[in-house]
Amino acid sequence: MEIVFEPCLSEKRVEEKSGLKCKICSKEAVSNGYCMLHEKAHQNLTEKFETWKGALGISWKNYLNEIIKNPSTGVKAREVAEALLSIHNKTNLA
Amino acid sequence: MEKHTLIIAEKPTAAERIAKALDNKSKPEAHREKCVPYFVAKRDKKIVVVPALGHLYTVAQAEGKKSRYPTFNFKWLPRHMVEKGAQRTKIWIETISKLAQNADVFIDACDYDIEGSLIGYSILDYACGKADVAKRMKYSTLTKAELEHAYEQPSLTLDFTLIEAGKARHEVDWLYGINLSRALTSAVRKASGRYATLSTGRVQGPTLRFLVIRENSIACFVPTPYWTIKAQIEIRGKVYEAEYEKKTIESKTEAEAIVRACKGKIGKIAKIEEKTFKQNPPIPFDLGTMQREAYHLFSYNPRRTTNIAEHLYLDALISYPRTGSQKLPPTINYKSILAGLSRKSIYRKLVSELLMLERLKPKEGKKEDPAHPAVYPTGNLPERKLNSSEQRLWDLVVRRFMAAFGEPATKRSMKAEITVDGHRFYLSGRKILKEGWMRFYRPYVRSDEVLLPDIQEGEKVKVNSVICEDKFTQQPLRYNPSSLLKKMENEQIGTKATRADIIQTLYDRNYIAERSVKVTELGQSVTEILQKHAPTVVSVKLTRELEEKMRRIQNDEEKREKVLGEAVDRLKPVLEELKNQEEIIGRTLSKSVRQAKLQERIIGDCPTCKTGKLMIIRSRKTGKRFVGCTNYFEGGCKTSFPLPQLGTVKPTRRNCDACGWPTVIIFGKGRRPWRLCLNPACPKKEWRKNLG
Repeated sequence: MEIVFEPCLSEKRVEEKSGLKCKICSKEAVSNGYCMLHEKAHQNLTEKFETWKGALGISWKNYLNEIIKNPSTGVKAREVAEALLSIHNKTNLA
Repeated sequence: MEKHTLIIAEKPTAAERIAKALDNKSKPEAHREKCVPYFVAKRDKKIVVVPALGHLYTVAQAEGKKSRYPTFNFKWLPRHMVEKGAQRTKIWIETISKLAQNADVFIDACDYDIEGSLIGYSILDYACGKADVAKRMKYSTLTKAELEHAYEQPSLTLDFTLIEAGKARHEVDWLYGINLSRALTSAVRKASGRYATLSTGRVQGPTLRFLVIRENSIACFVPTPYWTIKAQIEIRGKVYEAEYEKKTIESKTEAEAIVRACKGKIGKIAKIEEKTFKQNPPIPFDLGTMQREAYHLFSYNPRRTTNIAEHLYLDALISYPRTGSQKLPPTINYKSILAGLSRKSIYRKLVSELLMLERLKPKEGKKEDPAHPAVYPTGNLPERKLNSSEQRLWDLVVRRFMAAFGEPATKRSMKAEITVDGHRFYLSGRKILKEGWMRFYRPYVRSDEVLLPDIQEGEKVKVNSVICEDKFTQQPLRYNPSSLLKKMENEQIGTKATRADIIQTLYDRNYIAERSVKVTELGQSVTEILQKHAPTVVSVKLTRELEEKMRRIQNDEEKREKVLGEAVDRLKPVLEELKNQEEIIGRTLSKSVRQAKLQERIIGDCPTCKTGKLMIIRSRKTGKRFVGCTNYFEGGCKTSFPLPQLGTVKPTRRNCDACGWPTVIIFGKGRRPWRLCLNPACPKKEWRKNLG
């Protein structure tokens, strides 16, 4: 049987290319500047916004605030929501 | 000198039982040779029954340095030559060899399963040199009748296919365990210069991966809102709760509109549906089902249940518990078991009811085990006072056995449809019409009887109120030891005998914590690394394939050597990759090990500064341990508490119920563990002081 290995970047290469580090936890970034888990949480957050909008007619900012407050939110999802909220606030201030 | 028959039993208690059963007067002579107990029974000839001490021989590296990997050369050696803590086994082997010198018949009477067969074989082969002429006693209970039968009619040879399967399992597990664990440990040592016990294995890796997958889906979970609506319906002065036709409503506007439409209205019973159905008795226990039921009813973790069951088996109260069977063959003699149980007053009435049945036929499950039937009570009553957990488990096995013979229970379900202003609500009820088997399984029956009043179609009912509840979807449930065991069973990884131990190892290695299983950072790191650099090791599919091959060895359809060769071929590239990436792996793991060690010392939040954590610290100056706040250097929080200097201190991760402060548990030698609240002014301490 042939064994196929997943390609992996060496840690040194990740450090060299600063763009490849997760914005939140400094692990290897895979997409959108997030590591695998934070990216999964990010995807979940984006997908679920439609459900929240349909249910409560809520804005993106209020949605993120609700997610941060909610005790059922997962740790990684909350971290991403906090990061997105701070980006949102900075953009609005600018 | 008269030659004797030498019987090898698996444990001292089993040896004593066997000797007692085979002795003409049921009074065998108890001997002790250098602290090794053995028993001499008189029957047609002298019989010497000597116990093993679990495995006396084990797989070990044939040559070379102990920390090196990869290593694929192994041999079977006495355990005392390999394991530091197994010195006692040396005397054991010497005694058995001595007793074998004057024996002319050799019988393996260890438990009839893979492990038992291997234990008996290795002793008879390596210590006695008689594996080729030895006979095999096969039994499922340690009762006198069954043991006598097994002695009179033994198999004339050892069960070599079981032995080959057992050898293969040990050897493959050794190859995986030793190489992968050394790879992880060596990576950490090279990166940090420190030693840390890290392990993984053929079944351990994929099991941890299930937990990590669940942990990640919990961590990434985003809840969504929904609403549920219930109506309080008044029928003849009593209030009942009816559920709205849609279980969940996804929009607040829609939910509010329904509430507005139904509030204060009169409802009408539009339709009543009644259904009578039968519920079959529960199937007899195989080990997994028993472990899950005991967890559900008594919160015993799977390993604890196995240990208790093992004691009950050795006391000849229940049959062999490590069984995969859910069948009770008539050969076990249902009537005599029931007659035996009827000697206990609490079972007498139930037994007499069963004996009045026209035919005794148990409800059985699908699973079969060629070696043993399902777990059943032997009909013997306890000869000593059982402790509370033994008593509970024995009672559970007895009642489950009796319930299997009971008639199906008859239940009636009722569903009333109530229309309120065009909206439909449902009122559900359930009633037991005939208890059947449920009588025998009380108090372990999970009954959910909901009685409804007598209502007629077309009847008008008052809607007292309509309640709309705001809810959120919840995170996936964490595994607990019982559901994890079920998952392992479903995925067909590990064996009934090893699954509980593998779960325990994950706890012991600090990969997981708490009853509702949380994966620690160390567990996450180990899995991430294996997933990235050695995906085959954590692959459920490949583990299951290997498991299947070992099952085929047991059925004589596959050769052990071939399976071992394939395992080595599979491991080689994995170990090569781990070696190449040792530096990166070491750095990541060292960080997690440090974190895990730190986490072990954290007791809870600091009650003074509220931001720091209380931690067990050892003073460099005095060498004494105490509890201090992590904000001591940064925030200047000087909170500290003394700790007892003797025994092991561990955080309980639970706050005191009296004052809410963090607590620790202290394990002292020869003392019961005691819980200590860090609060010097804890009301509980005051209360105890006053009591004193």
